[in-house]
Amino acid sequence: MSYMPQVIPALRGLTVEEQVAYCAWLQGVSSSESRRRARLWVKRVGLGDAARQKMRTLSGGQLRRVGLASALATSPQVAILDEPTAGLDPTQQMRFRDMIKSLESEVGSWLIATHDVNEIVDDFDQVLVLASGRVWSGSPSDYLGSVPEGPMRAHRAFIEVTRGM
Amino acid sequence: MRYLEILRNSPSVWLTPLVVLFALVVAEPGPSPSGAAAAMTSFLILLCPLVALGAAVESWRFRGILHLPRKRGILTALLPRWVVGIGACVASLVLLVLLRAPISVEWTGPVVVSCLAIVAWCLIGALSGFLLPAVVAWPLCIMGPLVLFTRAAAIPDNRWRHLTAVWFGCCSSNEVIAPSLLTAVAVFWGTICLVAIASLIVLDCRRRTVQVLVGASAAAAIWASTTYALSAAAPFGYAPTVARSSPRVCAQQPSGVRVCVWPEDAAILRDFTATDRAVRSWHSLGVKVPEVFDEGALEVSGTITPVQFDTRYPEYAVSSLATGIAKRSDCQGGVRTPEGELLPDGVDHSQQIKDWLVAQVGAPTIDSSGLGQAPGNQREIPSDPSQAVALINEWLTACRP
Repeated sequence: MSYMPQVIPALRGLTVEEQVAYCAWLQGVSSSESRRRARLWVKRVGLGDAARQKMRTLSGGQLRRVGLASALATSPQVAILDEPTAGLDPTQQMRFRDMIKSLESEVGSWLIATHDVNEIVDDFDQVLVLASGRVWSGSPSDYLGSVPEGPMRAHRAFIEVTRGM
Repeated sequence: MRYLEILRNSPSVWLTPLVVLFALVVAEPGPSPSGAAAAMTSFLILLCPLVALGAAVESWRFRGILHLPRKRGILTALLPRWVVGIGACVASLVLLVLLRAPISVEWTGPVVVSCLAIVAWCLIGALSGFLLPAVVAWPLCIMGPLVLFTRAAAIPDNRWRHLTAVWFGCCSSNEVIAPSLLTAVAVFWGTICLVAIASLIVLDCRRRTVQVLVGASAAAAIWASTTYALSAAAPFGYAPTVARSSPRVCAQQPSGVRVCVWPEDAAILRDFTATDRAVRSWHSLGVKVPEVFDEGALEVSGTITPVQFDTRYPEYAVSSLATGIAKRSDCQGGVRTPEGELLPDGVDHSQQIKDWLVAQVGAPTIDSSGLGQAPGNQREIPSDPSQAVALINEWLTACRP
């Protein structure tokens, strides 16, 4: 199991590849293997050109990709992503979601915590809602339930679900 | 690549060449291995702030690992980086000692204590880097050791100076730093290291009770080790030394005298020919030259004579030896008769004896300002050789009961 935190700490002085390798090493991967996996995953998340770039020079979107590469470099069965698209503009959010979709088969299960309920409808097999200490679970179609089509449908569904909990 | 990355990013590594360069400029041969090692502890004033700052910067840069998913503990995560930095600083310290004195068991004590102090300051710097804002931690790491070292050296109570492990001005070739003090100071710095390591480990622990327990234990351990170290340092004055007891290297010379020197001065034995010629000349004149010259003898007794050798000036070896012989006439407590009765007359003719001995063999002399005496004690040495020898022998034996 691996975990991508909401805030990706940029370790100053390290390059992108070095940080991914270091994070993998911190999670128990051997030194040489972590370097090999870092090279692989940095390319796969689309940061091949920035591999030797210093961490402090990265944008928010690039930092997310570094976090994802660090999480996946441990070859996890379960990947937990905490607010992976928080703070990104809609274009970057879309790209990031597309990237996760393209990597879907690399991990057994993805557990993604998000406040962006629009993601839930399109991308996931199962939805868990936590509110006021209670849990609701179901499929995306259960989640949307009887909420009629229209603008902000996912948001309105969220209100309905939490009201019934 | 990982090692290159560590090397590229370790502040301590980049500071080390400056330390080595500085040391190479000021390095001079020490009087003894222990003296050289003790003198090198003065470099702690330079090394410790640099190491502490390097560790604080490193912790600040890697503060993010506290929030990263980890299976490896915080010490394991950061140790490779610190090892490079600390290793470089310790290696530079050992190199500096080696530049001043040959390898000897006698310098291991001060060097071990110095290494412990360096590691302790590194850990303190690392802890500050994690716990404090950079704007506070960095100046603290630079100024903390500096203030502590200079302040401890300035106050009249020597115990605090000994605790810092900085012993500049120590030791002559006949002295070593007291092992009891070295042990106590090692315990003190070792405790600081352990407390800092425990505190770093606790950074990973979120349980309040564990943090309180470790904090209380750390305070108790520091109090106990400080009290122990201060009590061990209490009997010593400015120089925390005891007599050096390691074996000397001895050789029988053609003149019949036996010369014993400290191992680091063994070269003297090979180059004793000119000096031995002088001894034979003094023998032939009838001067009561001692049968044993022992560099390590501290007191005048029997045939044992303290001899001053200075390997830096071999051309003045005869003069040095004459100074050592003449020291026998330095009657600090007054002249005694063979029966042990104290006479009020003359106390020190060593300068005259030394000058006379050197003049007899035509050797170059050096000014031994420490052997000057009041004009009232001066007596002319007769020009008649037999009378002169009789007077010299009288002076040389005057102090002995």
